[in-house]
Amino acid sequence: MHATAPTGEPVVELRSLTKRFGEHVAVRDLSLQVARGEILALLGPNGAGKTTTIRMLMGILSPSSGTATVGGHDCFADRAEVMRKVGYLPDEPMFYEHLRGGEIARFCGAMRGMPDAAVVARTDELAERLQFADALDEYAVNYSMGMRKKLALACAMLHDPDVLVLDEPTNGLDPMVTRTLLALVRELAANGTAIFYSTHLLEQAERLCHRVAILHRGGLAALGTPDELRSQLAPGGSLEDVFFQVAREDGAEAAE
Amino acid sequence: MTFRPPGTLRVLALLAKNSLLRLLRASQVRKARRQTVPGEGSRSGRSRRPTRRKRGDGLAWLLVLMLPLFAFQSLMMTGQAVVRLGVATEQYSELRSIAEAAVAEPAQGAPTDEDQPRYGGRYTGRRGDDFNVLTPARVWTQPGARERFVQCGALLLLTLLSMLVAIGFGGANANLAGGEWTQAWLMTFPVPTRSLVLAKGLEYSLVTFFPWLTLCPLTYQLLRALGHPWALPAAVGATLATTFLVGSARLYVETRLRLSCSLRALRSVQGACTLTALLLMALVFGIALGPSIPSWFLDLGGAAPAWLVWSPGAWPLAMAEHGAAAALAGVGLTGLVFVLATSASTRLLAHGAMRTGGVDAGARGRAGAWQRARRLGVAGKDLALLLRDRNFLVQTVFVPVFVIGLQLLVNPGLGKVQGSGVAMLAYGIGLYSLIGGCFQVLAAEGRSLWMLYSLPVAIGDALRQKTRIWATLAVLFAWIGLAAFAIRGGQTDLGSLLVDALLVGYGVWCAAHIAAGISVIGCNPNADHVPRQPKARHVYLYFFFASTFFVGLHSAELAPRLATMLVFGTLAYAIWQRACDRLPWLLDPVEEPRRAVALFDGSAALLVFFLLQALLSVLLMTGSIGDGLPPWSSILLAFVIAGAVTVVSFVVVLTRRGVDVMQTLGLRVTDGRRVAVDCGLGLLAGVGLGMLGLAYLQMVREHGWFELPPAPGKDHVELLLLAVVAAPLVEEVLFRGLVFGGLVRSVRVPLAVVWSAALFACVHPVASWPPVFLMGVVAAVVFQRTRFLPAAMLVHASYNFVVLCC
Repeated sequence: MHATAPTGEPVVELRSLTKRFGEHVAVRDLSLQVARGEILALLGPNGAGKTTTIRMLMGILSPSSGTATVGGHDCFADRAEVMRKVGYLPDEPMFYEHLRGGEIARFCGAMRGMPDAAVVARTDELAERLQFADALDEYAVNYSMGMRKKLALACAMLHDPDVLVLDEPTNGLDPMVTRTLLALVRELAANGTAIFYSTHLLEQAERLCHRVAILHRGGLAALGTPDELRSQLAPGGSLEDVFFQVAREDGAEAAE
Repeated sequence: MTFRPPGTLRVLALLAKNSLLRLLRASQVRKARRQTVPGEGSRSGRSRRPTRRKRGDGLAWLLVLMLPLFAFQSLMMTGQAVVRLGVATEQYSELRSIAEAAVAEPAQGAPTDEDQPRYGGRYTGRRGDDFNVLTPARVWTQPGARERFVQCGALLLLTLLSMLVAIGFGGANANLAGGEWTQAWLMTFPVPTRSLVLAKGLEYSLVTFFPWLTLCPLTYQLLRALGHPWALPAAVGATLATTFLVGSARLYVETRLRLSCSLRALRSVQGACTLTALLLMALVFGIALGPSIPSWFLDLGGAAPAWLVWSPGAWPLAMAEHGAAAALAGVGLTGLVFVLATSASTRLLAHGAMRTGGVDAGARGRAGAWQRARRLGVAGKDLALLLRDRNFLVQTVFVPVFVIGLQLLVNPGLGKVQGSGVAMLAYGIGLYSLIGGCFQVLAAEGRSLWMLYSLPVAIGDALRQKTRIWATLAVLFAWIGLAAFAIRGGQTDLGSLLVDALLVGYGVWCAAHIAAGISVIGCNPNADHVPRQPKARHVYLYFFFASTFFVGLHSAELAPRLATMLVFGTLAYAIWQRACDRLPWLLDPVEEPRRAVALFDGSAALLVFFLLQALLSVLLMTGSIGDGLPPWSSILLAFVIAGAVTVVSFVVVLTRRGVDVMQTLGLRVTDGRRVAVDCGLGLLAGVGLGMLGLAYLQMVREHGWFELPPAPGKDHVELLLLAVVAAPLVEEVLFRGLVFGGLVRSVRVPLAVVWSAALFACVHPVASWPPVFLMGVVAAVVFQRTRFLPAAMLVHASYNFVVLCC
């Protein structure tokens, strides 16, 4: 079972975060906090606003209202400052076609101001753990989906970030690497990294994460430790039951 | 652990290195090699070798060769334009001064009719007048001519600048309407937005070559004509400054568009920009390279305000008048625009680097067209795509029309062709209109190509359907052109027009398959970015192949027309077959088809053989080599050398490719008795055919169907050797082994037999077509039955022996 949620000072803070695209409200009045060393799972059906939230956290999208801060810096206004402490794994990592895996990692490291030797050492270490060291000299175009994910993960963890934002990280990974990744994530969290973990795998979220936030139609539908959610929303059930409970409630509302 | 983020200069260097690597590694030549980065591959023993890329299509060097050629050509064209502009302004000013003098002193008389036709309302230095690649400084004789020249030059430069800006947003710009925007990804690094924007701006300004082929030579020639002492450095500096202007404009507008438009709208914008660029290009070409400089342009130059030369893009001309002050002003202006554009783009990005969170909203069109098109399968999907993606529509349908129109504008003589020229012109139109779409049959699928592979449709059929759309479109274009030119040329003979239409239609249809085949052979769907524009080297190759059909269009007689149709059709099918061979392996990043002998090999071998033979014959007959051998010896020698070289080199090439040549050519002897039977069969068939051939010759003589060349006589040992030994050996390997062998892989046996025999016949004199065709059929049948090439050789040898010696 997961450890109890760390209760340190919050590193990531979302306050009434809202994003509108014209009429459509993608994220509605979302308030969340992630503490140092905490793993927060972001759950929700497709189109619930997970990726939009993450993109606002990454300073790629500007919030329509509300704020997102990392370590007290505004994710949007202070993007460059925030990015020093954040590592990001996009849902569909894209790479330069003309660079090899190792070169992409070096580029990412250099863009973060890391000395080249440190990048190479860290890349080797991560590649070894994630089992793609033999592919570092390959062009990234030749990578499979899982390999891309591994490379992107290594790029996100290169600089030992304070906050790690992972958008469906285990999607496309084999069970061995998934296990390694989860161990890595736990290790990082134990060392104080706050982890923002978006996923569709409820069981994984239940086992790995300290707290769970369920988004539905842009709004925060439920937030708490898995135990709390279960006892509140689906006594005697699993997180899956909680998830369907939340989704059904909303469906019932819509039907009325 | 936190690191200090890199400074602006470091970011610039990193991104510049990236751009440079992209340029260097983009070339197929480099990709073809095994690459290891020094020090990286050997970092530890565990690293596996980089995967070898598929072989390139080997034509990258063509482009490298073409670049200096382009540069020279643009220097020449701009030189010509500038000289003629100079002459025209002088003439214009002279005429005006005559007119003004007439108003002042009526006694001298108004401009007479003699003056008018001299210039005809259009002012021209005729082509070839006073023409150097480097324009000499002009001596201005007429008052006001120089000023008018400067104004007109400024107008030209401004038009060119607008064209370059429009091109920046045209279809070639992959970043504008691509699904992902690199800028958004780069924003996830702890780097100030300003640095990223600055790097992008620099990239857009520096990594561009079109201005250097257009603006730079034009500025240079204009400055030379104006007698500027530092024309070259001034032109280079001015062009550099202008690329910064264009790059800044592109940066700002691209950022703005990316943040405010849906992808679909972006595609439409791209289409519109391509059209605008084409219009402007047509304008520049029409003015500068048409038969004469139009007078409205010279009027406009006179009427334009004097500050025009100080405007962006045109200021280099002010250097000729005002020297360093103008240069300073120009550089200052450029710097200002660049700074403004980068800071404005940075401000734009301050509101986020993306328009939407997830799916691109607001991109839905009406469903009606799709509903109707769906019934057509793959072709319907392509039609729907064509109608929806306006950028693609413009690229594929309008661009060719514009290019043709441009040609007609520059060379009005083209429109007045007669006779076989009409058909050739129509065919040319068809060829042009294939470039846009047909070259993209697969590339247009982009990264969704895998979907075609997941359909319950043979991938070759899907390709055929897609090709048919473009072929139909191109044939229509060609026919419209044919009709238009025929009407304009006053051609009324419906019969010959119909024949022309058939011929042109056939040619364009074949050319469509050549284009589609080349594009498939040259396409790499595994690249992250599949370009939507055809590669220049593929277009050159296509034109090279397609232009062979002009021979058939040019001749008026039936026989050469038929022969050309056959050869051209074979060529098209050969390329198509090779493309189809490659199709199943297209999505595999490393594997290539295990090749058997293809028709393409046969066609290439034939081409090599005949070219070599012709060359050697000419050299030997004229005594350039071989010191005056008798004619028959020369012919024999040329045949033997050409044949030996061709056969040996193709055996080597095929073996290296992993083809079992002995097996393919049926040279592997397993059963002695069967060999004897096969040879006897061949010998017998040949003798029988020879008899038929003799009878045919007799009939031809009696009825006088053809004029036969005088019989060479039997006393030439060389002729006998040629006909009975050399020809069967070489021609059977080529026609039966490679051509028939390649054909029979993908068409039915009877068709392959007839096809290869017809090809065999058409390299012989027309008079001998019927018996030679028959012999080809028999030889092919014998080869197919026995799978033993020497049997076919015996047919050939005994046939030749009987016909020659009896």
